[in-house]
Amino acid sequence: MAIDAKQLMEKLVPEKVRELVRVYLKTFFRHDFDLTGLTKSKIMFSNFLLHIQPVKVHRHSLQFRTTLGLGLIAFYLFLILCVSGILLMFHYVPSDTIGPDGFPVAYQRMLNLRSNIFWGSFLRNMHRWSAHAMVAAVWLHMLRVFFTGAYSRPREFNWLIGCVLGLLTIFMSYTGYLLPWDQLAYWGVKVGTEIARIAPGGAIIRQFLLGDSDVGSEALLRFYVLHVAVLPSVMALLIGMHFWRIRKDGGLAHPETLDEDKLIPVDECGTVKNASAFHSTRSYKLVEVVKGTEPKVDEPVDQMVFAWPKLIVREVVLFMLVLAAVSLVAVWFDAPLEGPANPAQPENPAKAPWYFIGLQELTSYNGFIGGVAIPGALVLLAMIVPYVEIAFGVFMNKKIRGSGVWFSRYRWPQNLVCISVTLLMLYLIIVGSLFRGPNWDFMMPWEVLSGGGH
Amino acid sequence: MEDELKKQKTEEAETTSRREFMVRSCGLGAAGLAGVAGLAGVARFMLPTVTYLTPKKFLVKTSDLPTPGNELVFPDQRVIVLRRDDGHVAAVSLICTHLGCTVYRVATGYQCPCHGSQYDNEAEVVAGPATEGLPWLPVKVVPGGQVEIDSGTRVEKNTFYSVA
Repeated sequence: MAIDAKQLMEKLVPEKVRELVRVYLKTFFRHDFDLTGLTKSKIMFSNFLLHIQPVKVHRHSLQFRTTLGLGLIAFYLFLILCVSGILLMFHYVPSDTIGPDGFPVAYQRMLNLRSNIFWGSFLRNMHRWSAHAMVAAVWLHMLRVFFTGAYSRPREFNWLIGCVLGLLTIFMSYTGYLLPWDQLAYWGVKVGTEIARIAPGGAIIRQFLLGDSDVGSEALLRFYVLHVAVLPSVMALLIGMHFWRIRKDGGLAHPETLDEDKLIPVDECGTVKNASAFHSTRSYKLVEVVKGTEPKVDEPVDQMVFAWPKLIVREVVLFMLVLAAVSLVAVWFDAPLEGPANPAQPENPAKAPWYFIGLQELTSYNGFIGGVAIPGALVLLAMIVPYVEIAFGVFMNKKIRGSGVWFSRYRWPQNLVCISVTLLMLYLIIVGSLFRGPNWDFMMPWEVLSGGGH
Repeated sequence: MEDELKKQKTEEAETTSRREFMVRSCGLGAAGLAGVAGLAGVARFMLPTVTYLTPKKFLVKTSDLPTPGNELVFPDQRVIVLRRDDGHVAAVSLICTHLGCTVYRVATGYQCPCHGSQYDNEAEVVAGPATEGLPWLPVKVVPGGQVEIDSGTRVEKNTFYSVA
């Protein structure tokens, strides 16, 4: 005979105690846990952590192929980097003073992490590989947004914020790169700041970054402060804005539903258009007061679903996948550490990490054009793309179309430019990392001993 | 009477009174000034008047100079000292003029490992992305049997100095 758990509890636990537990629970969770629409919306609304998400999302946004999860992956890597980075800070000293064992203190701390500290290697590996992965995820996320035309109205400004976040990601990698104070770190930063010198107004930027005429103890301290305090806080703020605007812009870009069968039919209800005050970007409607007595017609059938539990569960699953992947890589592959920084002699070849090696390849042709003009032009081009499209639309009297769809045929010119630039960047990265040997001479990959910096 | 009141209220809402204008401009102006002054101060804060800069000039004992006909690299200062057979001395910076890597000495001159710039024996560019030759540096005899090499100043190429 099955005993109802609820009945059993009612028998065993006095009424007053049950009441007390209910009240106590309500101080933590203001909502119930049933599956009614009201509760589902309350779960999102009354929870601090979930509040940044919308109560309802478009079905289209839930499909993996819409985003490939790239933005979220980048964000999760940022979280992993924050946690592992804070832990690493407990064992790190930003100093190039030569310690008792003959190594610079910062470098000695790397050896210490490796040999002396439980999980030291694991966390450093995790931090390093997550940083690489984050640069890749941000780049791919940017390509995703571009190829789905998701930066079109009203999301232009969010694209700009995203571009700034992308630059900050690169700058985070760059500042973090110096901290181990090994050969890779020293020469990467050395060359990078020399590029700053030839940029217009770059001499003063270089002075701000280095605090000295050359890469040394002041530079290490400044890069450390930038890396652990200034840049992460700016990034966290911008990430908050980035997410908030996604909500305010009506969730992710999705194609307009124009198929006749998906519209509320006119002939059933008359010809009254939607008179709602919120006909704007807000794509979800909980309750709203609409003037008039007629039902709304000629509008898409509501495609929105509650974010709890479908979206939230998918997000948690994605986080677990990212964490698992990063952990496995951190267990299997050690983050590289070369010899301690030696200003007298660079490695030969001295290669930048993969996301800078294209730049290194470019500067090997010409310092200013390759190091300043081309990268600067590309960043500027990326940032103004939505605004150029708006201007084009105004002058040519054309409606911007193709938002929310992968490789829309209305966007072939933009996509063609983007694909060309991406292929060019890949080409430079491949040549730089696989076809360049000592003295930056052109070589076949099997002749090159080192495959690029890390 | 009621209309009058309504009109007054609308006007209040639509026009800015003098008091309101003063409050706004003072408030926003002060905030703007404070922001600009703060930023300027922080910028100046980041650029100290005197820094622990890597020194540009360094001293070498005359006895530590290479013997006539030889040359010697000073790795910490990233300078090579050349000495002719007649005992005259010259110094050449080993910092690549392209993007600041340290070049190394080869039989034909100097070679940069980072982006492949090459210099001949007179430190002129022969290949690679560098556009300027390596700087020749002034060598000055100072009291105490020493010479002072200034890596912050560029002199004519092939300038050799007597250190006798």
